[in-house]
Amino acid sequence: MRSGDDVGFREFASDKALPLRRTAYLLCGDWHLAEDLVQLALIKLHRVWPKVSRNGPVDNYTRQILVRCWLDERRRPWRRKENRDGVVPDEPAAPADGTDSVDFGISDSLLRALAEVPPKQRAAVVLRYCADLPVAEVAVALRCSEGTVRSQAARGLDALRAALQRQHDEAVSGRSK
Amino acid sequence: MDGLEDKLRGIRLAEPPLGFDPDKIAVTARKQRNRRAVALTGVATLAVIAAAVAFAAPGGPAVSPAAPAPVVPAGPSPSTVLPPVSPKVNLEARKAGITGHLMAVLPNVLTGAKDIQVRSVDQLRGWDILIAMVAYRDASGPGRSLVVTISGTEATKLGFSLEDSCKPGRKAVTGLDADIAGVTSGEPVDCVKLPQADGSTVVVTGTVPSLPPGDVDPGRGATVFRADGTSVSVHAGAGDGGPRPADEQLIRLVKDPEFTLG
Repeated sequence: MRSGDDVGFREFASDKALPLRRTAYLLCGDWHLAEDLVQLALIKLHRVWPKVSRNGPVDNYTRQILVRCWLDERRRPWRRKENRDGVVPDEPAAPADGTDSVDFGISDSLLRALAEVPPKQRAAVVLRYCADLPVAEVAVALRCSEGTVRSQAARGLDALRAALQRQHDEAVSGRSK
Repeated sequence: MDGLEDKLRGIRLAEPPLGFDPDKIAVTARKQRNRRAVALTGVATLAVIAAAVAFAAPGGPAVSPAAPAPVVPAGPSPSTVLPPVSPKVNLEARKAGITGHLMAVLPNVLTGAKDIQVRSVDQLRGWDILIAMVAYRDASGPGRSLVVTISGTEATKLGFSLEDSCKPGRKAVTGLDADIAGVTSGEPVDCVKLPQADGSTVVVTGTVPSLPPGDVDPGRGATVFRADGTSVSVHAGAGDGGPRPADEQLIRLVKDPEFTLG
């Protein structure tokens, strides 16, 4: 890799590490695993950086690698029996982006519900809505058709609604006891 | 519409500080790349040797399980504990010729390749087969490799035959659609037989060009099965995602009439 490529990669990695980790966390629900996935994705990106960086923006390609790393990680035998619940720390640290006050209540319930959505639907929901990407970009990132993205995102939203409803019902029944 | 999409767009996370230094990723990646280049070359060598030993066994003298174990000298290599095969040909004199010819033709075929080295040319246990390991670098960096195998009639008969080439494979489907369909991506599905005017047939095999991002590309190979029963194959290790030789370059190499054992 030429020195110019190396500088470009370092700048890209510094700029995108946080957004990528955010996406990874929304996918896997674990900050430590999210960091591992981002590092793995960036290392894999480094191998092909000279080629892909010459072909234009590499954000989508990086997201492809990240999603692939996550799906591969999920297939590992010691991961199959795990059931991540997406629980965030009891006392959240200050947001890395410097935001002062955030209503974590809604986000917490959404995160817990998101963890119940099947992985491929979750990937479509996270990229389409949480990362706010157009359908075409999500299709590129997931290496599937735009129709598949729409159907997976729609099913993901349905699953998310169902999970939120379950959470709500459990909370109501808990209070009534 | 219950505003769920908007809630997702506005989702906020209690993000802990980044636990790694993005600036050091490049250093880590470079170290891994170098290790992988060495490992891939080693794997390619082992694969070739394993294949050669596998097809050498039926031709060698049968060894009864009840027969006493052969006396093995100290520090045995895998070949010393396997049934011996009587040397049929002596190709020592040919090794230098193959090395010289590779050094002559590779710069013309692999345009842009630098630091071309023929690291070894080995004959396997007396069989009519020579295996040359070639390393080079190109614009994308070091770690490129080629394995050139020149087989005589006996080794070709015992190796993968033309008929065995291009066994039916699964359709290549990658990405989310593949996950949904339960299809493993990156299957070695691309295989084509190209009959030549001189009666030989070239077989080109490899994975589909568009592997899932980040997947290791096991490379691509071409083999010519000549009308006289000999064969030549060239396998190009893809390294870590850099450009690999085009099919035309591989075919040009295997069709080189100078690659013979005689």
